[in-house]
Parts: sequence; structure tokens; C-alpha cells
Amino acid sequence: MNNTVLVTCGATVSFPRLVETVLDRSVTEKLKVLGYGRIVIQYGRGFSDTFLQLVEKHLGLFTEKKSCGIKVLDKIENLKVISVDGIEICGFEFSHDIEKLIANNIDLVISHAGTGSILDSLRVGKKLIVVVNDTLMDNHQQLIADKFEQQKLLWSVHANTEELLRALDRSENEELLKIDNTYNKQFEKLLYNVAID
Amino acid sequence: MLLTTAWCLLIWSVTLLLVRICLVIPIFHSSREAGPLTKDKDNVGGRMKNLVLFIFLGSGGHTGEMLRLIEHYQGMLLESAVTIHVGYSDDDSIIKFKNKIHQISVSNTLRAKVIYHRFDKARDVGSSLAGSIKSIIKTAIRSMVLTYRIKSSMRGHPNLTLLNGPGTCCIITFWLKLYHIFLWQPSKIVYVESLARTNRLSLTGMILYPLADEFVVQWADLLPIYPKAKYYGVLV
Repeated sequence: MNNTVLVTCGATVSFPRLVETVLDRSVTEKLKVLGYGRIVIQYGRGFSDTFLQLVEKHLGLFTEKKSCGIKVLDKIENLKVISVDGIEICGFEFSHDIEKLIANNIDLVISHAGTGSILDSLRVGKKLIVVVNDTLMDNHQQLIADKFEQQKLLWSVHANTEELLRALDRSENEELLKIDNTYNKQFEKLLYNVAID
Repeated sequence: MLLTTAWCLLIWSVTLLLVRICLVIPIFHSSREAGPLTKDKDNVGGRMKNLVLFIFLGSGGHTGEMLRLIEHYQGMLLESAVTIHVGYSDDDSIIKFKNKIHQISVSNTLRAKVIYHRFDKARDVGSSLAGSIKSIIKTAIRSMVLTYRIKSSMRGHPNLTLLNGPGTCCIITFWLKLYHIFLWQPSKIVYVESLARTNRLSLTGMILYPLADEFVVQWADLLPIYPKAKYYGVLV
């Protein structure tokens, strides 16, 4: 029960269905079975009250704590630390230190399919499940998630419990590939040649 | 007689202007090969001195990608820079940029002078046509002054303009190329299309495809459609 999972909705738009899917009792039970004793949720600006209501709706009455013992998290303004049903849930709106958090304190990331969040996880080599927000119009999330999944860099699902539970099983039994190093000598040469031209 | 002379002059100047435009705008000449380089140029990073770099932080995902680019290519872009011009249109981008530079300077000495330039947004997502036109004109005038300042500081230095979107980049490119045509001050623009674009270019990408000196995409599927583009995998 020592593992920590991060759920991240991105900074721009909130993704209530993702939060709600993760807080579904079937998913929290599964996470416990897989050894995750702590769920960290970044839910986006202005979502704190809804978040607390969702926790109560799905998991029952909870007690709030002052801190969770992870330095990066405890620094965050308006952090909610909740103890409920044998699991600890830390919720917050937004943080500039999310890269640091992922690198040092997280074992599995469940993320919305924005490129920034995908890269934050892949660059530090964490297991990643991506949840596509199909309610967004004219948006490239599905295409991007498919591309990365084809390359075996992540597991892509939609915001429902069945798909997420299946992906959690896969995250235990399958290995992902590592993303190529970003440093590309040819690209650096191109920049150099253009600059001195 | 006077009329004929006037006509001749006009035709001559139009021809000269067209030739000049063809010489300056990248789509009209063959692209530079990324292949083998001369010995001297092979030693990249550290060798180049006094680079003047101009980056534009386009807010949100655009800012995110640009910061990743300068982080991953800091040896080439930041360490050899004497001046870094940072264009932006939202304060959040500046906070992120300063954080990133702070993080990089822990392990690296950066000697560049950083100058910030606030560009107005070319167009807000979802704004009306009339509203868009008004804000585009306003942005265009202000950015004319800003790009002129940036351009002036590039004179006599190796220089590079690195863009990733969105719309304001078109206005920046327009002015830089105009200065290039009429003031004989070359600008070197590298546009890296957003990672979010897997199978077609953004509107900004389509506009800049013929204008940027180098056009880089991050998904191989775009290459058959845009043969002038270059692909080096995911760079951000």
C-alpha cells in the first residue's frame, strides 16, 4: 500500500468525468489491491468544492487532515488531504511543480490526453494511462493518444470505469517502451546552420 | 514620352521587387541540406559565440513546448547566446520561463541578457470576425515596432528566431520578412509545429510553411504532405 498514483486533468479545462471515474469505488478498490495507498488528484481551477462532494458521494464520509507528508504537495495552496475508506486522497487545483512531483513521488500517472501532461510523465519514464476527453470539440486528444499508444508508450482509454479497470490490469502485466531521447544531433545542427548562415 | 518613361520605371521596380521577394522568401529556393557539414561547422555547441536568439512563448501548450525545446537544446540555444529576446502574450508564460531558466542556471552558467517583449494576442479563441480583425490590426502595429527593435539587435550577430505558434507568430514572421526584403537585414526563422498536430498543420503552420527558413514537424505522417518540412522525431 505504499504506492502513489497521480490523476491529472491539466490546467486549461477541468475534466469532471475523469475525477468521478477514479473516485468510483470499483476503481479505488482496484487501486488498493494493486498496492496504491494514496491517490493524488490535480483537478483544475475552481473545482475544489465539487471534488469534496464527489468524494463523499462515492466513498462516504471522510476526515480531512492538515498535510500528507510529501513536501512538494504540502506547499500547494488549498491542498485537500482526505482519509477515507482505507485510502488517502490528496486533491489540489494546480501546481507549477507537477514535473518534480511526478519524478520523485509518483508510481503511476492517470492523465488527460494533453501533450504537456503526457510528456511530463514519459520524460521521467513513469507508467502512464491516458484518458481521452471526448466531450471536447475540435480537439486532437484522441489522435495523439492513438499515436502514442501505437508506439507502446502509454495505455489509452475513455472516461469510464470498465476501460480504466482494464488499463489498470494492463499496467500490472505489461511493460511500456521508453520514449526516445529528445536530444537530436541533426536538429541541433540545423539550428546551428540557420543561425550562422 | 513622360508616360512611357513612367511605365518603364514602374515595370522595372515591380520586376526588381519580385526578384527580391523570390530571393528572400524560402519557398522560392531549394532548401538547405541537413546532411554533411564542413569540418568547422561540425563542432556544434560551444563554438558559436554571441548568438542573438528570439523565441516567442505562445501561451499554454505552445509555451510548454518552447520551454522544453530551449531546455533540451540549451547548449546550442542558451549557452552561446549573448541576448535572448522573449516574446510573450500572457504573464503565466513569463513565470514558467523564469522558473525554467532558474532551473537550468543551477547547473549551467548563462551569460545572456534576457529582454522581454509583450505582444498582444493576434486573436482570442472564439472571438467574432470584426473583433478578430480589429485586434489583428492593433497587434500588427505594435509588433511592427517590437520586431524592429529585436531585429536591430540581431545586426552583425549570428541570430535565430524560434517559433512554435500560435497566430502572433504569423505577424512576427511577416514583419521580419518585410524588413529582410526592404532593409536587407536577413532574419532566420525556424518553426517547429506543435506536437498536437499529427496529421495536418495548424493554420499558423500552413501560413508559415512557405515563409519559415526551416519548417520542422514532429510526426512523420506530415512529411508526404509537406515535403519541405523536416522531421527529427519528437523534440519536446
